Amino acid sequence: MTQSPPVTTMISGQIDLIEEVIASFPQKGRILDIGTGSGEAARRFHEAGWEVTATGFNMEAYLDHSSLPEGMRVIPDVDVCDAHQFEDGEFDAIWCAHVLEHVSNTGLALEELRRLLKPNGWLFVAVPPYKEQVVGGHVNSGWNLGSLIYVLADAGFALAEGRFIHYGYNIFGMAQRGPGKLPDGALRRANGDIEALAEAGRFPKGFNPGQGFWGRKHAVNWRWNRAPQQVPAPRKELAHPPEIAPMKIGFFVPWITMGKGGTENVGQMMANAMVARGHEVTIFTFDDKSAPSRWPLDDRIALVHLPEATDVPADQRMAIEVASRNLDLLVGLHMNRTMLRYVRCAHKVGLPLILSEHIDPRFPSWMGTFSPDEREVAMAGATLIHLLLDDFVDTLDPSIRGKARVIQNTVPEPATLADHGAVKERRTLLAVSRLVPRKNQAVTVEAFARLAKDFPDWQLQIVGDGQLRSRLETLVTTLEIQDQVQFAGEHDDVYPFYAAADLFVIPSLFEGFPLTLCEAMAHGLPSVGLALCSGVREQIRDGESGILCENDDVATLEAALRQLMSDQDARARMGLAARQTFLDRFSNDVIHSAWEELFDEARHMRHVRKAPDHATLMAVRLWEQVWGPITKNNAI
Amino acid sequence: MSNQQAFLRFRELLETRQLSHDPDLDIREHVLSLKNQKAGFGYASHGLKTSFGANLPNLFPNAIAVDEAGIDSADFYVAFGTIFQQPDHSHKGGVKLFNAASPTAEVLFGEAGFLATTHSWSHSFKEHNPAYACLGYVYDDLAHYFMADYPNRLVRKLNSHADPSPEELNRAETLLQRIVMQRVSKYNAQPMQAPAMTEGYTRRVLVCDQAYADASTVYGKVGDAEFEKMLLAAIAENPDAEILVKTHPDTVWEKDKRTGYYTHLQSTGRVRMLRDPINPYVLFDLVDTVYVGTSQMGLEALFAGKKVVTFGAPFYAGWGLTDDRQKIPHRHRSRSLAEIFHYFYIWYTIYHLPGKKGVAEIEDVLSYIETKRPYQRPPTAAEIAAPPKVSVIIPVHGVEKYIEECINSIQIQTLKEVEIIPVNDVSPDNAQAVIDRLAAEDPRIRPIVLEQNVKQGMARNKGFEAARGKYVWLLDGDDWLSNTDMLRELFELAEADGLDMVRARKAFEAVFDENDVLLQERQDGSEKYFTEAVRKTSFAEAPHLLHNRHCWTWLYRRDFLTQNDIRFITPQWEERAFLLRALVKAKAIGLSAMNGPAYRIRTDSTARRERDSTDFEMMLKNFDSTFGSLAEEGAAERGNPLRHHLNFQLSQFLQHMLVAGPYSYYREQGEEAELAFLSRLREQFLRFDFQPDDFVTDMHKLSAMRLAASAYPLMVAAVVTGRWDILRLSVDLAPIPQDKLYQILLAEPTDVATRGLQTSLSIYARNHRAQPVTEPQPDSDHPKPRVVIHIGSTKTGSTFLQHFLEKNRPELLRQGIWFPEVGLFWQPSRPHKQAGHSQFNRAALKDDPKLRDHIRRGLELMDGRIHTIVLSSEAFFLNENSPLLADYFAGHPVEMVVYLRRQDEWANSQYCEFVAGGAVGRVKVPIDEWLTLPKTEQWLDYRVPLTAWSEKIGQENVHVRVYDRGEFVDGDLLADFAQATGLPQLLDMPRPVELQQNDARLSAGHVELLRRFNGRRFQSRDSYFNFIEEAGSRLTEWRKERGLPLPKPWVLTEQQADALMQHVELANAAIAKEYLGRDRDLFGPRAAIPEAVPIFEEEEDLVRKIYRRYRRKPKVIVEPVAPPPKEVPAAIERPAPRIVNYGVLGWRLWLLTPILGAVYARFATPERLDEFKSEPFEFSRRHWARRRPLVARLVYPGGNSMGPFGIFRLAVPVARGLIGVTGRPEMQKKFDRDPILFARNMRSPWRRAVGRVFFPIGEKF
Repeated sequence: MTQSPPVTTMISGQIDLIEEVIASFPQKGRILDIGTGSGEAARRFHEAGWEVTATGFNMEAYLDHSSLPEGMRVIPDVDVCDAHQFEDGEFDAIWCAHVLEHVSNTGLALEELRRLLKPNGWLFVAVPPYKEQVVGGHVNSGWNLGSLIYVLADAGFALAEGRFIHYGYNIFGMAQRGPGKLPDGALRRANGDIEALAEAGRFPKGFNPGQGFWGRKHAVNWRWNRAPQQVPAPRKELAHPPEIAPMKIGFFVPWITMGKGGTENVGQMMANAMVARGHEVTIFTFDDKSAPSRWPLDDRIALVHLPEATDVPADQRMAIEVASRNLDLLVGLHMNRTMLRYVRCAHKVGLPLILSEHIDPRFPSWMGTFSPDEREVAMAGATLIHLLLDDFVDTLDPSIRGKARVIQNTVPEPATLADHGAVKERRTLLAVSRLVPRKNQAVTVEAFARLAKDFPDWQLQIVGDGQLRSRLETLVTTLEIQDQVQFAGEHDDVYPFYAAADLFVIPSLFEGFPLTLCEAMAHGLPSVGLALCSGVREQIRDGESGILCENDDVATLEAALRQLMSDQDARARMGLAARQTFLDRFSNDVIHSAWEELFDEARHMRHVRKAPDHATLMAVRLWEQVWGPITKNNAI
Repeated sequence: MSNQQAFLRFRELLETRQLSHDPDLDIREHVLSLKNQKAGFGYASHGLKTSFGANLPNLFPNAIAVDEAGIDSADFYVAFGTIFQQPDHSHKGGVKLFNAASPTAEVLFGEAGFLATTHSWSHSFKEHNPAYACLGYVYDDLAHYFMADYPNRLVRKLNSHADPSPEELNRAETLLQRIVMQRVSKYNAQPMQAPAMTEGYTRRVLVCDQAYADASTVYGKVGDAEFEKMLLAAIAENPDAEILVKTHPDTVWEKDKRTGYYTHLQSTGRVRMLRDPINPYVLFDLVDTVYVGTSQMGLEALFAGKKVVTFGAPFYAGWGLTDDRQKIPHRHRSRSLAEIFHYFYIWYTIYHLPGKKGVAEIEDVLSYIETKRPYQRPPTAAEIAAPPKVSVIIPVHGVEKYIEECINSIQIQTLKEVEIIPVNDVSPDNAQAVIDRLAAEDPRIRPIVLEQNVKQGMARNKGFEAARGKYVWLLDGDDWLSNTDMLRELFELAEADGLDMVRARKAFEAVFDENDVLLQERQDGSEKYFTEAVRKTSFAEAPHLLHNRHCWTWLYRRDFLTQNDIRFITPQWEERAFLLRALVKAKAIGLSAMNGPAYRIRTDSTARRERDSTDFEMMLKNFDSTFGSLAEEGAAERGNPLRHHLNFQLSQFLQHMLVAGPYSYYREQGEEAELAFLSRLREQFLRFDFQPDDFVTDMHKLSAMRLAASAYPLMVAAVVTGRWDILRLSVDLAPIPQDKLYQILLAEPTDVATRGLQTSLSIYARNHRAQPVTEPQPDSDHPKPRVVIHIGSTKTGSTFLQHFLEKNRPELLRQGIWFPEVGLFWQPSRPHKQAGHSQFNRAALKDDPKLRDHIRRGLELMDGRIHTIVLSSEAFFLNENSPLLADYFAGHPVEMVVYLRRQDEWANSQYCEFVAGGAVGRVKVPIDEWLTLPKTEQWLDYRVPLTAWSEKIGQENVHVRVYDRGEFVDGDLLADFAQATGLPQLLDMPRPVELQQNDARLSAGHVELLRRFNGRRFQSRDSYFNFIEEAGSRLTEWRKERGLPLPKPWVLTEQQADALMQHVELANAAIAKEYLGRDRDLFGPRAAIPEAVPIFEEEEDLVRKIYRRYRRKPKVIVEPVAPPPKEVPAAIERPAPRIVNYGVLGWRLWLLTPILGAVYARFATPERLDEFKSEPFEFSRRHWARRRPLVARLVYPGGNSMGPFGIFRLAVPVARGLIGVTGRPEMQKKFDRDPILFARNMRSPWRRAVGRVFFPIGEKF
């Protein structure tokens, strides 16, 4: 007698998915369990009050240890491609887990499943994720989330209300019976099919894929109505997320004891905000002199000084210091190759790491402080990536874009807003920036020179200092507008300038997320900026809260300024809108919450120390033997 | 030596052994079956002899070191360590072994076992102390035990179905508990004091570092990454714990050579680095989890019940006991801790112990470690609470600097139930603060503070009053116990046999200079009497106890002291009375052979002071009490077993009072004080009837010159008779005027004392100690006395006759017979080897009038009372010129007496004497050769001397006697001699005791053995005599101890003897006829020939060892007569070269040293002189600094070689610059290390001269 070979009966993540379906469909109904396997699904649906029909091949082998409950309808040897035992539209729902990989004609099977469903009936389908190993019985070696969505949409199911997740050993989705396949000829089995289906609204709501879309997604429109047990889910995937539990967060904030740059500013804001929200915060900085923070820090924040050196012993010291503080996650703020050190440290200690980048990513590369390849490695090593703008997400390799989370910055709430109704002797066009070429303030000066005579009650106030200051002053003199231009120099507290101003100008060519603009908006100032600057474009809504100049020349800026300088009402209206934008999108509360969500999400992502597989490793080593160090550019 | 070749062989061996081996081989049995084969070990010979591997030859008697001849033909090999591709990392001995090993012989992998040593491999190799040698090794034919990827015999055993028996498991459990309780680790040179822990942690975990890239990490699959992961994991997994990181002790023991994976880390936050060596079990007490790579500490942590996390693949991982963070290959079973222990520690490890042949049991190894390790575990609460078994009493005065070491040496005793009673006798320093600090931490210390300074004797009495222990031990505050197990062992001996007292040996005297720098450790000479352990004896039975000098080498039962009122009776000079009373009263005394207290000799001048009458009074009081204690037991009675003890004490009394100090002190005080002092002495002597013969000479520290002059018995006689004039002479070793001598000797003795005085004086006043007082007188009117010249021959009882005449000189004189006190010769160190009046022979030959004048003056002074002068010497027989004596004594009637002996017997005896008797003309040729020497042939023809003498003095004056008991008058030599000399008076006089007869003691084999040494070099003639003397007595002793026969020697074969007798047949017949008027043979038949006995190898060893002490050491050029015994020259440790200041251009070295050397040569032994010449500065510090510090400093002041104020440092940058020109930075490095040494070592003489200019001071050694 031949012994049946052992079969797989337990699939990681199955139970959570069954329970999620049960929780999501309280109305219940008739369900067909096609391919009952261990009977787990049939039993649980049955216990939940569903009317279950269980089917399958070779059922005895799978049902070894537990039997199906009494009274359940069991129909053996049902072929999913030819389920003639059942009527059309007999079921409210079908549970079809880990069946399709056993079927060579997927389309035929899906056709047959559609046949058995009631018009708005639901298909709950799970397939294994694609893998290289060949498994007995699996004639269809698996899917990713994108391909499952595509295949279901192609088969005529309605995915608009559907949702999908890669969970455990399951690529899982739920879709409704739908209207059926697109008419003949609509699809050409070629490029353009995805777009056609999208156009037909066959994809999940808000999911608009195109040719070559990245299919290895974690989830689409997924929310857990019931928090899963087997693999922890991030908070944002929960329909009813619990309170965020207190975290122990470690921030790497370089130079917080030495300077007042933007990164340090964001770092202290994050740290102070998280402490205020009840989390425990440690800031690691690099300072051999162990100086106090230049930024005010909450007393509850621990400040740890690490050595400034960047050698191996310094890395080891860093890891030991971090490890000994029992943190839940690490947040590394910076914009150069120090990020690689954060990654090394996090991987050594086994903590999730958020890399938080506060600059236009091209900049460090141009400055030679962080090459794109180094950045790519660092980002690949992060658990999640915090970026300031959606635009920046595209600078990441598609393989890691899924880790990117975009959260803009915030600024402190002003005490006094700009008053557009006030009667003033002098109106003020305000520019706040370091005086460096990339801030482009020469254009402001030249544009204002053209306006000065027409607006004698206006002055241009430039707050900030920098290498260009003397040249700008010369320019002002040359243009003979010195009476109307004021260089206010650098100030620790610039808020009074905003409160006293009427209009804000920011002609920067490159910005990450310009905090000055955000500050202007917080004060209710309308702003004029250049559309080509993504950081500016993110904040100013053209025509609503200010004007985005399509061109970066003086004339265009002049025109925009003229428009607003001459229209007090528009300024008042746009100022109000700017203020509202700030409140809606960039206020402390909004941004702090977003940060907190981000941190919590990362905290729940298990840290995986994973070495590249041997073949990949050898490929890289061989390549390097042939061509030298591998880079994104020279790799195929 | 090719590392690459060794590496390949090593790797190939590993691979092939995996593929091809006997799966059922039991490695333990296999190794033990090889033990008598020739085993080649991957250690250098010093490693196998004195260092880490020194115990291996106990198991493998045919062990060969890798640098020894024959390594290439061993039967099998044991390779230690691993060979790496990089030679620097390879085991040096292993490389040599794999290069040298025979290609067909089996090679085993060997490693130190899991209980390795009392100290560490590092200590062992550094200190070359075999006591630190490895106590057990593991052997494997497949791979080293730490090679995770090569399953060895241990892994295979554990994977197999084999299970230990219940008995074996029981034993393992017991041993496990013992190891944990006693805190025994692989290496044990680690202190047991736990470091203070950081406050605020409820728990701690331990992370163990290891030696960087050590073979056990490489083959155990851990490296930098794993060690970093491990530390971080320990931190992360234990968020509430302090993380203790323990560096490997090697990184401290082998500083600069060994580093660890964590060496560079610093303590920070929760992470604390522990770098000082510390016993692992002490650390385990502090933690609940232990993280290891492959360290054995992981296994020991399991023993201690800790959770163990492994990051590598150590041998004990993968058996279900550890939390393994990498997959451990080749493990297929779960095993219990006891099973693991059984297979690792009992089955796999083969133990051996120092000084013990064969395999040792693990229990004995544990005992050895427990007792010999340098640190001991602290006492448990129960041990502290228990009533003390021993109270140690320490008088404390002026020992602040030493008291901690002293007390520590008791605290670390393996016997924990002790109490320590420091009695602060008003110490002028801060010793009490030290004591208080120690007492605060150890409740066993119970200090006493005295209000008045009562001195050590009384302070100890105070200690007795406070003591609660069953036994007491006395220790001085600047001494210490050198042996941690001493109190336990003594306690157990005392308990086992109900002893009142039990002794430990004084370990050594440690001589320190004024800065407490150890100059030398030396043996106390009197300890030579106490090398053997004696379980139970008494003072009467063990007179050698008299040599015991100190009261602090004994454990006393406290009850015994109290009941017999044994305590100190004087504040100082207190020991003798106390100790003697104890010895006398003790019913049961034990002697152990183990070392105990070490005695500190300090050279600071403040410790010494002039003694005065107070001291002498205390000494007197103590002697008085000592005599009293002995007398109480009847020792004063002659025949009492303690009489000898009393004599000994009286002899010491004499030495101490007359020779050592007091007498000269009182002599300076004037005659009245002197006489008062002497009469107190006399009182004691008379009280106990102390006679000259009672004086005990076998005693430490007697004056050798006075001993050689027999001055001591004379002192006794002089004191007893009140002859203070004679006393002064004998104390001062002054000669006695001839007139006074005869005056005393000729007086008829009225009592025993006077007779004693005469006898001892006649022995004292010989040769130059009989002083001429007048000019030689012309011959007087008295008829010239007859001169009887006894010429021997040799080997015919001459020595006996001479002793007889010596001893009876006074009586003979009174009878008119003069056995002259001059012209005598005897070997200074062996007075029984006397050659009679042999100097007369020389005088006669040279016609030197000195002796004749002495005789003439004597005859004059004795004014006609002398009728016969007797001269006796065998030299007169051996020397063909002796008939000239007749001319020397022209005018006197001269007679000659000779005893003749069968030539074969004579030749046998004479040859043995020449070879093994310590003769001046020692013989190194074999007997057959010797017999054919012309000189011998001449001796064998007795007619030669007889004719010569007959021609000189007439045949009628030549008295020939046959040396044969059967032919003696009354069968007695003396009676025969009396008749031959016509001196019947002799028969009424007492005869000398047996021991003064000069008999051969050794057998023929021994004679042959010694002959082989006669050709070698000795330091001096005396050291040759000493060698012969010691070899003779030690061999006799050795044989006696084993009950082996020691027949008299017979070195001739029968043929030789027959041939010889045939050769002299005619001559003998002529003598018989002419001198004895006999027709029959001159001699009777040959006496029975003694049987030959075989000589044992041990006897050879014994002689070789003795020779080593007397040989001329440096520049040994062996010129062997016979093939020399196998002997490997001891490896000479070359100290690192260094620079010593001998002044500008070293004049004190090249000018002063030869001068001093010439002076010193007169009284120094050659090796001392060599020592002086080779390193005079060191020598001066070592030997002179203590007694003559000023001389040492004046002669060799030493000091900074950089000159006053380091002035020559100015030359350093210049010279450095010059070296820089050569462009060789390594030279500069060398220069930086020691500029002067560099300058002296340069190859070119020209450069050295320049170096001399830069640095004129300092000589290289």
